[in-house]
Amino acid sequence: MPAKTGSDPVGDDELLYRRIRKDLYSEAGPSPDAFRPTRHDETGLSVYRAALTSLTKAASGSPGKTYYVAVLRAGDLRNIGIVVTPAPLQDDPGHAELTNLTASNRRTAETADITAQMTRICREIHGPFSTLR
Amino acid sequence: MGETATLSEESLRLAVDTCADEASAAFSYLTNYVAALAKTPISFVRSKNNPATEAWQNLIDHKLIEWSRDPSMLEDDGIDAPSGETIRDAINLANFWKKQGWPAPTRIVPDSDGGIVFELEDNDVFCSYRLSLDRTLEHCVFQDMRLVRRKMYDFPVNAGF
Repeated sequence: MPAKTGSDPVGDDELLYRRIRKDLYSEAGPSPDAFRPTRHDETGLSVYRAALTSLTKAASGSPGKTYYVAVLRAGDLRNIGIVVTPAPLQDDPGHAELTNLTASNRRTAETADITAQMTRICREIHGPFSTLR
Repeated sequence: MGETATLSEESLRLAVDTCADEASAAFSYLTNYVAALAKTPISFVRSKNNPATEAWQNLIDHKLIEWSRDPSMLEDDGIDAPSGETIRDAINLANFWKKQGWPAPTRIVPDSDGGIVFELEDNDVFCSYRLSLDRTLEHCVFQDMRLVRRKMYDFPVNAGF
């Protein structure tokens, strides 16, 4: 059943959007670094629930920058050990987090292993999308 | 026609053991693991006309040098652009590997901590070399996108190339 509010648990069949910097995607597919947390991802890697966030909104990042959007399925992420948790924001109820991919563990072997696997379970890539200045 | 070297898994391991402290150890490692994982001897071509040379030069000219002109193009929310020094190190490393005749990477990407990653994919083997701000080089080998090897090196620029 599709989520109705951002606090609803994320179902296995839900699709999630992950914004990717343009340099991290090519014909070869997404780089594992597309799924590597940054120093800002203190509580988890940000994704957006397709049932609650539009593709255009998920693709919107810093002004003047270009992005792709990877589509992942929550159940596929769980199958490789990733914890998917709702993390609604005031301006984006569809925000969720992958809570075992964080700033503090981004340099570990476990994160390298998981992010590499994520390149394989990625269902689709949309874009490029440019964010207006 | 270039010189073709056929390396057995055993000789590759020996080569890695004997040159572990040399500047080329990192990339020797890559070849070693590709061969070891494939469980068959591999061949590679060392030649001035090696297409890999052109691919390396394209990556150096159109990626690394382009970044060095304006590293800020790589900045983003939570993303540190590589410093000029890191990009110069990456260019030196790329030139070294190019001169050695090693296969060109599939892609070079900036990481979120001001580092630069060389990625090489060949069938079910994926290798990455992450050059970090602190000049360490992290080498990872994946088979079927599962991590099978991870090793850190001090950056070989300090070893004289």
